[in-house]
Order: sequence, then C-alpha cells, then structure tokens
Amino acid sequence: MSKRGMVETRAGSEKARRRRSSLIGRMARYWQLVPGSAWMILFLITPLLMMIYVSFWTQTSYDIKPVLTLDNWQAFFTQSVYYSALWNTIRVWLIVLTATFVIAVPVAIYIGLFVRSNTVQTVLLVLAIIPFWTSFLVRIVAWKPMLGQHGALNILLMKAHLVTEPLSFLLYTEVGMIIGMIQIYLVFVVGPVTFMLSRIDPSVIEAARDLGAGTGRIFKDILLPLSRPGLVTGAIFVSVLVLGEFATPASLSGRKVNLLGNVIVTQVGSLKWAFASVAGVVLTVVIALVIVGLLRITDLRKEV
Amino acid sequence: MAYDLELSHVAKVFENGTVAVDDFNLQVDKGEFIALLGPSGCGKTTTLRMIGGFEDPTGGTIAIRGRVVNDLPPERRPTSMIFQSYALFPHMNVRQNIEYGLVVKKVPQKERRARADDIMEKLDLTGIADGAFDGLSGGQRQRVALARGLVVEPDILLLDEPLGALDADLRKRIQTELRYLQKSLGITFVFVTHAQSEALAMADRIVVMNNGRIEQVAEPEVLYTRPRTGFVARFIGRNSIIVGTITARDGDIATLHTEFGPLRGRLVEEDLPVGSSVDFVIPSEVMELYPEASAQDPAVRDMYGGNVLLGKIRAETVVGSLVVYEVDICETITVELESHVDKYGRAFAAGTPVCVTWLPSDGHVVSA
Amino acid sequence: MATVAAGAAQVEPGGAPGQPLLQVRNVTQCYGDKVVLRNVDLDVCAGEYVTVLGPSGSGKSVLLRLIAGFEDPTEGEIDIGGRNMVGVPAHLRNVGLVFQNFALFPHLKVGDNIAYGLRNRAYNRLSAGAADRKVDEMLELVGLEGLKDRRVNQISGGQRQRVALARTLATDPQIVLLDEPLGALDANLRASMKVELRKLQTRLGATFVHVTGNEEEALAMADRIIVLERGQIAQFDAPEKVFARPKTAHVAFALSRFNLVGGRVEGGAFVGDGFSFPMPPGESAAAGPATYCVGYDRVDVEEIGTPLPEGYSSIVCKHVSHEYSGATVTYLFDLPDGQHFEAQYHLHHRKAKRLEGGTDYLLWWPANKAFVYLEVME
Repeated sequence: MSKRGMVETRAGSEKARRRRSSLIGRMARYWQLVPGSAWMILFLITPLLMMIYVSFWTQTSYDIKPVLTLDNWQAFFTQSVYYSALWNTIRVWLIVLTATFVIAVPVAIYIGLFVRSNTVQTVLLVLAIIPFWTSFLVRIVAWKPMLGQHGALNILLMKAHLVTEPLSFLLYTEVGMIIGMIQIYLVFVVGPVTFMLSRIDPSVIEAARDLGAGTGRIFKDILLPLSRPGLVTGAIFVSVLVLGEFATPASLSGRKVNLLGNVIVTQVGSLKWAFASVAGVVLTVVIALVIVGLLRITDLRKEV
Repeated sequence: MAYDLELSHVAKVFENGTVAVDDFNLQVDKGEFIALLGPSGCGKTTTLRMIGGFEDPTGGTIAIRGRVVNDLPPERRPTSMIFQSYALFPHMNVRQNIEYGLVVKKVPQKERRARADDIMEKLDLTGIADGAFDGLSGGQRQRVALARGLVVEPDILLLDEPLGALDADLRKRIQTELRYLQKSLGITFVFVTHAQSEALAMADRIVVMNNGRIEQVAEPEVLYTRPRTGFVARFIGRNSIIVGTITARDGDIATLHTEFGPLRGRLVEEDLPVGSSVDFVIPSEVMELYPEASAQDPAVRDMYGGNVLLGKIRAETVVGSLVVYEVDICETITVELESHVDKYGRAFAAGTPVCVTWLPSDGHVVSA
Repeated sequence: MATVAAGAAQVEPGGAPGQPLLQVRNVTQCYGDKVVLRNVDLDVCAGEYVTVLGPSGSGKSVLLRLIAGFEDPTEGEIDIGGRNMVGVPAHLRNVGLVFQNFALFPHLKVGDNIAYGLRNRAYNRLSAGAADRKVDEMLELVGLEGLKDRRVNQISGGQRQRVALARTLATDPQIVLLDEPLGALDANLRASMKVELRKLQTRLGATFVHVTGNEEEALAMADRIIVLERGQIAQFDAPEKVFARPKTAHVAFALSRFNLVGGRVEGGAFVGDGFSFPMPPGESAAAGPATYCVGYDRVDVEEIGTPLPEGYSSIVCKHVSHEYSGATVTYLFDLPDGQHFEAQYHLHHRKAKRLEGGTDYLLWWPANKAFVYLEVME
C-alpha cells in the first residue's frame, strides 16, 4: 500500500493521485457488494423462485411435468392431512414459544442480574449450552428413556409419591414432543436475553427503585424494554427452528403429530416434488410473516 | 428541632468480614451541602448508599427529619440518588426520564407536566425536553439526572461522584452551577467525591474519611487551616509534612525535635504531651523563600522562630500568576511552595540554593 | 513536492538544533463544506514542548491527526525535518501519537504492548532480543519496572498512561504527539503526571506537541502555547507572554483566569449596563461593542467607602459566594446587569477575607492591568 503511494508521488502530482484514489475508492465500494449479492442470488433467490415454480407443475403418481396447474394448491387447502399440518405447526409453535419464554426469562434474569460474578455467569451459560455438544438426533433420542412408561421421569414421580402409576401420556404424544422441543430450544432465548440483561447498568435499576418503583414496575418499565432486542432475537430463533421442525415430532410423538416439516419430508420421500414445493412455499410464507411481525416490535439494527 | 439527616454509630461489615464503615456519626442541618471525601475504599460510597437504602447498615441508626429509616427500602425513603453514571433510562426521552418518578407515584398527568417543566426550566433543559438523550453532552445528561432526582422533591439529594464522569474542563463550571442550585433550592445535598478540589469548592462542611472512619468534619477553611490529623493534612491541600517529637511546650506553640534540628509550630490539639510523636504540617502558601545567605542572618532566624531550612530549588512551574516551587531540603525531602509571580519575580530559578522559612504559628502540629 | 522520493524510510532522528523540526505551512482542512482548520502556519523547533489549547471543536485534534499522518490536509504543506510529508502514510513519518484513551492492545501484556512498534515498524525493525532490552529500558524510563508481564486490564489508569507513553517513545519518534494525554486521569493523578511528563521530555530532549483543553496544563507545561480558536491560530507564544497579554478575548477566555465583561466603548470609556470604567491606558478608544478584561488575581475586595487609590478602576457589586481551593480563594460577585465577576486571593500574597453573601462590596484593580477588546463574546 505504502509503496504504491510513494511511487506515484514520485511519478506525478499529488492532486492527481488523490483524485484517482478517491475514484478507486468509490468503485471499490460497489465491488464489495458482488460476493454477497452473488451468494444471495445463487443460493436464496434462485431456489426460492424454483420452488414457487415447481409448486405449479403437474404431479402424477410416478411423474412430474412442467405443465402449470393449480391442482397442488387446491389439494393442499382441501385435504385435511395438509391443512391440519399447517394448523398443527402454528399451534405447536405458539405453545413452544410461550413455554420457552415463561421458563427462559426468569432464568435469564437470574443469570444476567443476580449473578454478579462474570465467571459464574459464563459457567452457567456454558452449562445451558452443554446439550448442544451432542448431535440434535442424539438429544431427541435421549428423551425416549426419560419419558417412557418406565422412564426416568416416571420413576422420579413414583418415588416422590406424586403419582401412583406411571404416566402414559409422556412418550409418543404431543406432550412428549413439546417437552422435547422446549428443552432443545430454551437456550436460544436464555442466551440473548441474558446478554441484554447483563448489559444493563445496575445503577439504572437502582435509580428506578430510588424513584419509587417496586419490583413489578421495574420489570415492566425497565427490564422488559431494555431486554427487548434479546427477547425478539430469541423469539426469532425459536420460531424459525420450531416452524421448520420435522425430526422431533417424528421421534417423540410417534408420528402422531404431523407438522409442515414432516409433510415435506414424506412428500420428498415419495418423490412428490410439486406437493413438497407447495408445503415449502406455505412454510416459507409463514416463517417470513412471523419474522416480519417480530421485527416490527423492535428495530434490531438500531438497538443492538 | 430534628436534624435533616442524622447518622448515629452507623456501621457496615460486609459478609466477607470487611469493615466498610465503622462508628459513623454525623448531624446535618437542613440546607447544608455536605461532602464525603476520602480515597477509594474509605467507605464514603457505602455510607451514601446506606443513606439511600441500597445497603443495610449492620449497626447504628439513620434518621431523616427525626424518623428512623433503617427498615425502609430505597423506594420509600425521602431521598433521591444521583448516580455517577447518571443511570438515565436509555429507552426513554428526556422528559420521560424526568417524569418517571412522578409516574410511579401516580401524580396526575397535568401536575406531572407542570412540575417537570418547572424543574427543566430551572436547570436550563427546556429546549431538549422531547429529544432522545443520545445526542446530549455529558453536562446535559448530568442535568437530566439532577432534574429526575429533584422533581420528586426529596428531603435529601444524594450525589455519588456527580462530576466524576465529566471532563475536567466542564467540572469547574458545573461545580459552580451545582452550588448555586443547591443554595437556591435550599435542599440538603450529600455528595461523595475523592477530589479535594470539588469538596473544597462546593461543600459547606466536609467529612474526611479514611478506612471506614471519620478523620475530621469541618468547614473547608478549617480543614485547610487546622487539619486535625496527619491523614487530613496529607489528603487536603498541598502540605509538606515533617515527622518529629514534641520536646517542649509554650502555650499552643510546641518545639519539636526533627531530623532537620529543632522546629516550632502551633499545636492543633492542645492535649498532646511532651514526648508525643507528631506530624508537622506546613501548608504550601505559608513558606517564604530567602537567598541562602539569609540562613545566617540572626534577624531572619529570630523572626521565624528558628524555622529556617536550607535547600535547593528543584523545579519552578509557572501557571499564569501562580508559581509552584519544589525545594529539596537536605536531599531528604521535597517541600512544595506556592506563590504569586509578583512576589519574587523570577529570582529563584531551578538549581538556586535557598532557605525556606515559615512562622511557628503557620505550621500545624498534629498527632502522627 | 517531489522530495519525498528519497524515501521517508530513512528519516533520521532529530533535526538541527534551533532549526524548525516541524513546519506547518498554510494548512487548511475541510470536511465537505465545513472548514475545521484555516490557513494554519506554525514552526516547532527540535526539543520544544508545545501545547495546543482550544475548546472542543477548535480543530486541535484535527491538527494533530494531520501532523501524525492519519489525514492529509485539503491545502497546504506539512514538513518534518525539512521534508514534505503530505501523502506519506502515518507509519512512515517517524512520529509517535499517544491517544487520549491510551488505545492499548487489551489482549497483550504490558511488555508486548511496548514492543509492538519495535517488532512491526516498516524500518529499523528490532530482533526479539534487542526489542526486549528496549522494552526494559522503556519500563524503567516511565517507572513501571516489574509490570512487564501484567495484562493491560490488571493495571491502574495512571499505569496505562505510562504504558501508552512507553509504547510511543520506544520507537524513538522525532516528534511525540499527545492527544489530551491527561484527560482520562483523575485530578490527583493529573497533577503528578503533568510534572512527570515534562521531566521525561526534558530528559529525552524530545519534541512534544501536546493537545489539551485544560489551560492549567497548557500554561504549566509548555515552552510555547498555541491557542486555537475556530480553526485558526489566535496566539502562539511563550506562556508568560500569553498570560500577560492575551491577544483576543477568546484567548483570555481560554485561559479562564480573566473576568470578561461585555459592554461598549463610548466617549473614551468602557460602558456597561449600570457601570462604566475609564479606558485602560494605551487601549484603542474607537467606539463600538467591546469586552473589558481583567485578571481574577488583579482584583481587590474592599468595604464600600474605602478611598480608591490613584490609577485604579473600581466597581460596586454583590457578593454571591466563595470557593476555597487550597492556597487560593475565589470570591464570586454579580455585576449590576447580572454578569459574573470574580476576585481571586492567593494566600501567599494576600490574607483571605470574610465576606457576607448578598452584600455589596467595592472591587478595584490597577487600570493599566486591564485590557479592552473590540469584540464581543457570544
């Protein structure tokens, strides 16, 4: 860099050099956009358009033809297998989202505000992440011996004399699936919310107390608004992951609960690309709507 | 009449056994401006936080206008705290910050607005009331914090290093403003600082603290002219200190044995007996410089009661009309002497041999 | 212009004594339409300690960045050791900059911070052993022996300041630039660092350019002070000369040791709302808006009715409060029109007074120690 600067100083006038370098600077700004744009076009825009296009192709039992038709879409919204999957997906998403928040926010408040030592904070967060050191599938499968009729949970409940006979609705039911999902996705809320809370100057909370605010008011007026970017980030993580789920329902609900993700998997499995595409488009739209809705709550770019 | 604030035998021992504050006694009248001054870790902030209710004392009582408040949480005490970081609510604009205390107390909106407007006018914040405070300067943020604390009309305003986060050039201005404000509002202010210049400039009385204990409570002038302990003398002003032992007493004038021979000074506490180890405190502005030869002059020796030390100017620093001389005495200690440029002209440049003198009544003898 | 060709890589340390080491020639710096420096011209000799005093926004930090080479001026020339440096990048100018916030590398140890420049500079790079010896030498110079293996976040503010200084000095720069070096330190530390910094400079015989917003630093430390006012040099002279006769009302304001009273010159006198002073001898008597200026320490406070000595100007005004600051006491007064007026008593010189708040007193000062500027402060 410096060498070039010097050679040019030797060669020509100062001003010319500066003009040239500023022109290069302006051009460089646009060139910097190229790799990112190319990536987006190749791996996001094109596949998306492709998927929308394929969803209108004609699907027969063994074949698919690029003849445009509305049949797939009609089928999706008239056959209960499909539209109930959509409804299930939304219902499960809402339940899991609410449950993770109810559990994660108090945990985050504890770690972010009440644990004063940075080391302990880090240790606790790492503990929350430890399950992620194993593969996703292992984590799901590990829930089976926990939830089964003779599983760990039932043994504990029996020992504690809370139930007289093993609970049978824990495994291969929606309940089991939801328990699994909550555990898996909890950390995605705990992490960002803890981070936001730990950044709050403790004297801001003391100032609110000093001005007469009790615990409830401080939560509502200070903690909630100041951790909002964390809450939204967590909500986006959980929503995107839950809405796209297929493995947990397949494993823990004993295929009793069908989500959009499972529909796509089965359709792709039986080579019904057009149906899979319809479900894919619907899922993409749902996720996009959820993200847009969440982002309306807060401008992440401004706040973080 | 009850004091505005009264602390009796207040103590704070932390769970790990550290004694932060020990047997703290103080009575504050309404409208006083009190400074808690001391080095970091001396317990001044802990004391302030106990008054505000953010720490529970482990002994003693804190009373505000005659009512013991030990068991009241901060939100129910008639105090407002101004935090060093200002602790403004970052998600609220200036007006929302200021009105917060009133919103919490369910003051009707109309009255809320009026009171906030009133305080904002007093603090010259009217123009920025509805702005976010992202663009505000340090001085403005500090005024917003003050307005937020004052609008709830506390009996006592507590300030934790209120000027600490400002740059040095703003400090002097705000210092004067704060003093004007306090006098015009007539509210009791208790503020914590480690900078003696702030305490001396603003406070009616200063509480000098060291290791959790009070060293001296006095007006700035008294603290400066009559320090009670060696610690105060070292902490306040620009004093030179020579250690010695009392060998004789004549009224409030003591003769000391020091490594520089016999010296004479005024006893601050009259009950120090002959034989006590003492600190001899010589303020920088009481010393006079003479050419080296004057040390032999009996008239000079007589006039200064034998307080004549030989030395050599180590450095001369001129700051406007002020000159600071550092003088090495017998190559063992360095004393600092402050003067006005008009007094000696430039007669004493670095390297000049001199003698340093002061009147016995201008040097303070305090217990070591 | 083309003399840079010889290669900035061989800039030898120091310049001929007495010769200007740094010359800023007619430098103007604009950001878009905003002119932050206008026609700045100055010479700094080798071995000088120069302070640049100005309020924020006066362009003082920009001037420093131009000399350091982080920016190039819109117009004009900057010569170091007789060589035009415009277009030469910062790391080839042999100039050291100490940042206000110290800008230490938080992930490196103290020793590695100091060695950083020695191991990475473009020329005269030192071997690990030589760099290590140099680091020890620097640590001793700034009084931080034994802290070599400490992490930067384990040391105090004052120590960080010294590490920053050592890191800069280690590369033997021709000119050491300091951007508000004491700004981040607390008051007590400031006082001691002030003395130490000056001693260090004298010992090294290095050339220091020190930017500050604090007039006490500027006055106490400098061989010469540059007072910047809205991007222009208002005065450039020895501190005692600047203090004895500030060239403009803004310079007097920047020194914060002068009463500045707004009013106008009328019929050979300075007239304000409810008061009037005779023109100080030798001042221009052209009529118009003006500022009257007299040092705080020139003012005496007396009881009303005390006879006024020959050659003194006086005013009656109301005492508001006083501020004690050790060896000096400042008495604050309000003029009849609400402007502030201060009298400062240095206790070595005059005995302190007991004044009643809210009472009127007679203030006087030698007429020939006052100035009138034909300009008005906003």
